[in-house]
Amino acid sequence: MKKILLVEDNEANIYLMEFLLRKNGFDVTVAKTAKEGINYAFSESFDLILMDIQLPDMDGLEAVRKIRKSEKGNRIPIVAVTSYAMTGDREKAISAGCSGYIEKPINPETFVKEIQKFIF
Amino acid sequence: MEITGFERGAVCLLNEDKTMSLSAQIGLSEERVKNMSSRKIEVGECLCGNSAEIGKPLILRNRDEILSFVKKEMKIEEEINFHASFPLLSRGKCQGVLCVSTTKENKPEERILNLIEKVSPFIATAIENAKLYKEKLEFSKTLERIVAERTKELREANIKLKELDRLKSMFIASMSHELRTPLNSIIGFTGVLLQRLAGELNEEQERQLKIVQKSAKHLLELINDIIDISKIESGEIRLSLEDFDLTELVREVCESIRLEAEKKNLKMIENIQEGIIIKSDKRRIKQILNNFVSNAVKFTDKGMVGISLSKEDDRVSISVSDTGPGLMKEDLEKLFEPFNKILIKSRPPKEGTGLGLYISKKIANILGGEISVESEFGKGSKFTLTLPLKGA
Repeated sequence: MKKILLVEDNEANIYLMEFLLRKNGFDVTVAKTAKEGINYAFSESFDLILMDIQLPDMDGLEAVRKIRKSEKGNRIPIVAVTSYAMTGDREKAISAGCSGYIEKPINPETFVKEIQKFIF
Repeated sequence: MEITGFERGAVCLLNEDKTMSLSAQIGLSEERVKNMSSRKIEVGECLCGNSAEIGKPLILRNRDEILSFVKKEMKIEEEINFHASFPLLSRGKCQGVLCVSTTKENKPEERILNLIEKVSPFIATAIENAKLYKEKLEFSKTLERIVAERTKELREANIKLKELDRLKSMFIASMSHELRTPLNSIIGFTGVLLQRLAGELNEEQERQLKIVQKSAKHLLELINDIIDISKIESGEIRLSLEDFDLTELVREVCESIRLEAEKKNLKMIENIQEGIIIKSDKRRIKQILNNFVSNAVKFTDKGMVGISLSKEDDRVSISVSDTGPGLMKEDLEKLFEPFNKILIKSRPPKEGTGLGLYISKKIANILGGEISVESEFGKGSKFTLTLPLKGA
């Protein structure tokens, strides 16, 4: 079973994404803060990290940079969940080290297919 | 004065308020000059005022005549034995008075007086011209001052406008973000429910959920369009240029609409040139093409939708044609205006924001390309996006 780390603070979003992922057979670990997410990334192994950009304690992209610096987080696919509204969010996500980005609101019909592209 | 033989002479100008000002003099006592030039002189205060009032020369040839004319309130200079004042008339209007006087006993020659009378209109004209010139100078100074003031005001207003514009963009960006967050749940969970991921649905539930989904997607589309417009208008739109296979993208767009077209029994005719690589913003081109094909399928009830891609020199053209209702000539130019669906009379309004073509045209221009439309009312329309092969 593929393991996914979901870093997201909004309860409704967590419920939605976790639900979709579990229904499609993924093992999901949820972190509600960037710090918690970084700790998980360092201590456990995941096949994919889904990273919200706006987190309460730290910019999600800052968390991505921290994870990318470590040897463990060096190669793991990280997909940013970005907001279309903010100019340049996508570019920033890629330059911070994300493997890709998914726009919010997510499309529940295609969401799983989209993230599967990033899992080896 | 030398020619005339008078030792005193003065030119007084008539002001708008019927007072007079000493403009030039010769031979008057210092005290009198001081007195007269420091203030406005009331008409009737001195001898010359009379000729200004009646508009005719006043000639007082001896002391008696002078004294008989002088009223109590007049201040005249002592010892004058002759006084002559001539109104300075220019185009019938009195500009002032030229007066001469002498204390000498011998009378001035008649021809000298005639001469003065004759030259007085010329003096009057010169005075009027000088006045007009002065007015003109003042007027242009006033104009300059007004222009400077207005420029300053405009500059300030411009700064304010820019600030307002920035606030507007910021407001729209954050407002849109806030609006999208709840939509994430609405669209997400209706999708989950409709996919039966949370269990079976009865027919009624499915129908209702589909309405929720459709409305939420429409709302999302509107918000996205408004964000796009605010980005375009504030010049904040960022292109990400890359080399990509345009043929592949056009095929992808065709696939995305195929199901919709089939549902309406529309034939899809594709004429797509192979292997066209272009340097541009893939996502934005896709946005424009999606707009074209979804419009074509939306407005066409029977017949076909055609998609073609071709390259000519350093430009590529992608056309989407349909056998829909077409557009009347007067509607063609309204097509690219925001919220066009309320403006267009040639076809029944359909779902959509009415912002798509407006945004598409703006984006096409930013990409260095353009959008053109050909349409015949009752027969169909054809939208063409032309793009440079190598970047914006």
